Amino acid sequence: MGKILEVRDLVTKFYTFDGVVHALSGVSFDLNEGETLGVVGESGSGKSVTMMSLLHLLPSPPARIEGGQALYYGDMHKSYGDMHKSCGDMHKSYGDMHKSYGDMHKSSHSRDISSSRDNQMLKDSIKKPVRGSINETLKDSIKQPVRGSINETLKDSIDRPIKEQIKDAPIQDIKEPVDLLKLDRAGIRSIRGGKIGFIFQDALSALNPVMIIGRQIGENLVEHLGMGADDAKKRVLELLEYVGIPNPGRRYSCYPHQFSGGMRQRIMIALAIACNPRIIIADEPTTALDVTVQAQIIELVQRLTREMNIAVIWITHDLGVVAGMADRVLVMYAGTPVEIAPVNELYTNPAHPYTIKLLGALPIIGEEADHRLESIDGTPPDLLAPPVHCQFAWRCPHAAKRCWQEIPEQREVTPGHHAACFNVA
Amino acid sequence: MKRYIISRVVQAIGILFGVLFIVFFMLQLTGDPVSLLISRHASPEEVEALRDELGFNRPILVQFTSFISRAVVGDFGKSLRHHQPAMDLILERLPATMELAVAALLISLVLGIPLGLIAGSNPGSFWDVLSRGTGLLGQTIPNFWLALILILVFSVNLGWFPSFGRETWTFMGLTLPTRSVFLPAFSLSLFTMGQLIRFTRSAVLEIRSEDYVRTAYSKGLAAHRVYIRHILRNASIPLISIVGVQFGYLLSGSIYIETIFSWPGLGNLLAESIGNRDFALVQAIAFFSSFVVVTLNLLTDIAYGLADPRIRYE
Ligand SMILES: Nc1ncnc2c1ncn2[C@@H]1O[C@H](COP(=O)(O)OP(=O)(O)O)[C@@H](O)[C@H]1O
Ligand code: SF4
Ligand SMILES: [Mg+2]
Repeated sequence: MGKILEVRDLVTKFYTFDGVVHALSGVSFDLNEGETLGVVGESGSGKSVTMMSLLHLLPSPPARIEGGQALYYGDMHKSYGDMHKSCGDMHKSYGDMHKSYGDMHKSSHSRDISSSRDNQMLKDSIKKPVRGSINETLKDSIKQPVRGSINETLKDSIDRPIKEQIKDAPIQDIKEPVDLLKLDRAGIRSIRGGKIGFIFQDALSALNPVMIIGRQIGENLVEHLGMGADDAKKRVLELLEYVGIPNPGRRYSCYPHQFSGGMRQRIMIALAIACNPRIIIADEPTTALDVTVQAQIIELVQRLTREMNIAVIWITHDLGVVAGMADRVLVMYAGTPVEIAPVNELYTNPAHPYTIKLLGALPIIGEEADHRLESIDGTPPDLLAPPVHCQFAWRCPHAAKRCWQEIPEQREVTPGHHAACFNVA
Repeated sequence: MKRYIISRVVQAIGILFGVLFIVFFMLQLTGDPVSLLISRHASPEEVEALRDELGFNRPILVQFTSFISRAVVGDFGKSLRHHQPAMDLILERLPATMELAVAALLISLVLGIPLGLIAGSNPGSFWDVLSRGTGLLGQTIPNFWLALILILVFSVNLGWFPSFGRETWTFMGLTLPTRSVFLPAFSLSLFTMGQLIRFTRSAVLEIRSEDYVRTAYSKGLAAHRVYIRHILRNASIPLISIVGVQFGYLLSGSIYIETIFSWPGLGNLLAESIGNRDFALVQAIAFFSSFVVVTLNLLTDIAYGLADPRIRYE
């Protein structure tokens, strides 16, 4: 799988009346196409600030991004016309996805995308191996009238063996990456919503209370894909159906406060995926929800991102959630990434003392308990005057002399597993 | 929404009855109302005769019910001075006050809202300081003092506007204002303008940092779209109530401004009727002003409900 995003040494500071808050001091991580990266860490460790920095969403003043790179390897250089076309096609193949899922079960070509039966089949089809079904879709969509670049690519990919496709990434590798941090206003606007979708924690406050939800989702489509009002509405109705809002026709004109918390979060998700982004950033999207609804939302996001091959950055307090859904995990502490590893590796072989403590604070599986991260002794450093040694030193049982003198850099534990600790050999 | 409106209407009617109650007993509290109406040199027989004529010797409850039953149909009795029904006098003066109130409201909207928007959108900038300064002055300068200064500068020295009186012209049967309304309207608008600047500014400031504005940016909307659709739209909701309340205040007529400019409106009539101890007229004006304010508040509440779906769908 190819890289879609590469963040290097991101430094963000807040210039406040109390002084300079060193919110991020050198955050680096990669994100691969279609993978789910879990980001965990205590509150205040810089998870949100990292993601908002990427999209220039922090209020400035006081925020200032003072260093680093955020290389995006997606296809951003397309003209608007192309984007429109390819998104139109995506749109189609998206419909086709439903259809082909249906086909797998009843092998008839139903035109009726929006029937609830299809929805059921969608659910069923989730149990199928993912790769297989996507390729079914691709093949299927080839039978449709082809136009525009995306379908061209799809056709290409059909001619090659599936395994090969999985091994090496599609189009993106050849593309010149763009540095998100250097983009001008227009550039970052085409990324926001168009290439990177955002799901915020509290959907009630994140949705405009006086605008009907249909328009809030549709705004995206009009802005990025240049859709007309009718097309946008049609697409929004499909999206609503797709994320599991019952009766989309009636719900289109409702206001956010008329939905339950879970439904509102589904609307946020529809909004985030509306323009077929390559990446979705979900900032604690289930923290405000109760456990059952939380599970449904997680399942929904997993399903969508799998079907649409979207990479997800999932920020959470909850290590249990990460264990269940992430491919890799990034652990943040005091504005620095302290450990990054594939999820199984992290849980079985944690290297950084902070991660070890976090995992130690986890309850035994099956025990009903609150597995939030606040249960570790000590407090994180004051970001107004961050220490010039290991940030974790005074909470660390293994702190040695060197830990009080230098800042540890990332070291490789095993391939793909890095930790910022001197104790890692 | 229906229940919301009904509850507001019931509330408004309740308030108006309260006002009638106060207006009625206000007169009783001044002591013997008849003594206010008759020359100090009148004989006790003459006083008694007048009391009898005006019905002041009936039991108080009877007087009150008869007052209420006449008041609800707009009958406050005759003005002692003008020998005309009090309500007719009010309706006669109403157009002048309306003209002044509407002109003042327009001036304050046209100046206040843009200044507030600029200030709220660029906090800490030169324009912000200027707007806030203007807003503060508008709310603190006494308008009668400003009126005198304006007369001195613009009518006495420059001769641009008349210094007093209301002139109108008639076009196709409509009575239209002339520049004579400008100085009184400007003086009157000042307080409302200050209020609007301050409220618009804080509304914009507050809404700029709302989560849903961040969401709008995260969708990649152009800055002006975010501003118009998400910031302005939401900021305008709290302004509805400010505008409603302020318009009610303007419409009930300003005693100071109308007197200074000899503007033939309600404020002037009130000042005159107080001077003449014309109690029927004072009562009628007091009630009428309350009626206007209560009605406007009611309309404001309804407009609020229409603008904010969270209230509409309660
Ligand atoms: N607007 C702001 N002004 C000053 N400091 C801020 C601001 N926003 C965030 N910070 C600081 O940045 C740090 C990281 O915050 P954040 O990324 O929100 O943490 P979390 O990991 O909980 O998402 C915190 O210490 C916080 O105090
Ligand atoms: S560098 Fe030293 S203090 Fe820091 S986490 Fe590793 S062992 Fe602990
Ligand atoms: Mg956060």
